[in-house]
Amino acid sequence: MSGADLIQLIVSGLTVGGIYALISVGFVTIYNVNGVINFAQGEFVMVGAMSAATLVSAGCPLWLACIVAILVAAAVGAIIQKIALHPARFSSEVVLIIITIGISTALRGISQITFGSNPLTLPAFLSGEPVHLLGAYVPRQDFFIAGITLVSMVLLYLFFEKTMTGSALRACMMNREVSRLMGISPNRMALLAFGLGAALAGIVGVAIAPVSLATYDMGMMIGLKGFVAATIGGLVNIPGAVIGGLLLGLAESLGAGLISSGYKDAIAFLILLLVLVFRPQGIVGAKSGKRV
Amino acid sequence: MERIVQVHKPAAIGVKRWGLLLLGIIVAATLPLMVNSYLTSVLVIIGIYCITTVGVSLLMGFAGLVSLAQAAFWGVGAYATGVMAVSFGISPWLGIVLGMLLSGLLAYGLGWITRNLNGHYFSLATLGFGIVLNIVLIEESEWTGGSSGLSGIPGLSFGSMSLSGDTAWYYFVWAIALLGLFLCRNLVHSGWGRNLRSMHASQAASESMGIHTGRYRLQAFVISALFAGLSGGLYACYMSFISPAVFNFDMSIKFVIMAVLGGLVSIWGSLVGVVVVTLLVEALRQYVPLLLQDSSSGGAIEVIFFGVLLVAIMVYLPNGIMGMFHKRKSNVQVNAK
Repeated sequence: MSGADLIQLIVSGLTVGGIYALISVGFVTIYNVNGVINFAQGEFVMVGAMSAATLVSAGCPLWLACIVAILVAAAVGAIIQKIALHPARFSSEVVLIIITIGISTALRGISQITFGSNPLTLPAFLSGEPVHLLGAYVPRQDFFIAGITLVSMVLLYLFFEKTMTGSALRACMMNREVSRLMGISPNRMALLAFGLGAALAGIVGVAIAPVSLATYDMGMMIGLKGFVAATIGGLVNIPGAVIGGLLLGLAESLGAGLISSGYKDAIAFLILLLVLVFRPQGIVGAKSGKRV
Repeated sequence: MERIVQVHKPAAIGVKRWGLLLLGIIVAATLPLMVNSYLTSVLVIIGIYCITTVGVSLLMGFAGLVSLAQAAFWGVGAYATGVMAVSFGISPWLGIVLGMLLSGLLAYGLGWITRNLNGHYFSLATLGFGIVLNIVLIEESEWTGGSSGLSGIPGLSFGSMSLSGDTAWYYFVWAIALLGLFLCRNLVHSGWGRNLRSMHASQAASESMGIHTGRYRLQAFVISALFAGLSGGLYACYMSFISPAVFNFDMSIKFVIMAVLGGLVSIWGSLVGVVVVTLLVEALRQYVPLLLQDSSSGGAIEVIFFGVLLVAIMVYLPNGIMGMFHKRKSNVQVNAK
């Protein structure tokens, strides 16, 4: 294992980590406002990827297709919250989880019919030879993925910290009851959280479709990795989710390169177990009142 | 000073219930005579699922824990039986028992390290464990045959009489499933079960009453894994072929769905849930293509139907099917948000 190989693994780990971070941020937002582990998160990624690929093959310009795809994912998320989760908001956690599982099953079936079961391709934004960087070869699309992740993170930061709606959403994530006393409608925030979470998943879908192809059943594993990332970050805060995602990407890439590629997926879930056992409050952040 | 000791006896079954039970047993006993052999094999599978789901129901409805690793325990039972029979020539009877013990042991280990986790955190830990175990089954192909599966698992036999044919399996599996159901029913109506339920209602309150909550939830988790291991061993012997794809995360979810859909208010809900879900899947597979007269996208339509029905049932019947017949009891919690 040379230094260049190591850099290669780290670079690809960080790229994948950025993807996990975006899913995980959406997941944490939905979890804290709606109180549900959203098993349909991966399906939102799939919806984004499939709609972008279909639009492009229908002759739509790439940039427009991507924006439309992200909006489609956000709309799907919002509609689902409205028709399936809102009516059941007083039910127990298990019931809510099963509802999201039902949604993800249905979404998979619907997209198999709408988009077909063959893998769809999406052209890369940055095509061409991989770039030689510090002895590692980085595919150009990775720069795009890293860029879009960074831009999304900055926008998310501005949204959560500098806007009134973002602050309201954050308040609602911390405490629904008190934020209601402050005149914030938890129902509207729940809808917004779902829309935002699904939009972030849609961005992920658009970013990874050129690399991994878009298939109707791509959502499951990537959604689960999003949970792992969120759990590493402690499930309650957004910076934690970002760090969790990056750490997970790095650990997976290094583990696959240095230990065994067959166990690549197992590494993520082993980390999940270890984090839950030894630091259930997450890698970052201290214990907060909302925990365990 | 005289001490009054009250002995907790399991609640007796009322006369009306006995009648209902008798009717159920008569219907169950004559069922294989009325249906074709394909449907009989479906009924055998329902019985096998039921044994696992009883454990899930006990764990969720009474201990309040959601395990997303039940398919993994199920797989441990199946693979322990299969590998021991195929590679070492150990009798499948012994294999089933050892598989059960192995499942129970793994559950004990997992339950012990996650003893401080509640709610979603426990579910996520079991999710991780289940997926890791499934990957182990795929990767350790030297023993398990990898993703192409393990075949040639011998069937069961009583002395010189071998258990062959779907009808014989039907009676055998359902005898075990009903035994399991009764065992669980008596468990949840015993003092042990009451402690478990009190824990579900309020952990702090039951701890202050001197109930060692950690021990109870660990016991419930191990019991559920024992049931899953037993069911897995039977599955391996019945199918004679197993592959890791059966014991994946989707299946764990399916066990949870069966338990919740049936209704967690009573242990019988698990039976109702398994029957409804399995027959629903079979019915969708049979009738949806006929309805649409288009076989090309049949698979996807079934999936959509199943997903939408699941959402609809959970939105309108959050207490499951058994919940309709039960008056709202105190052990059904409705979270006010």
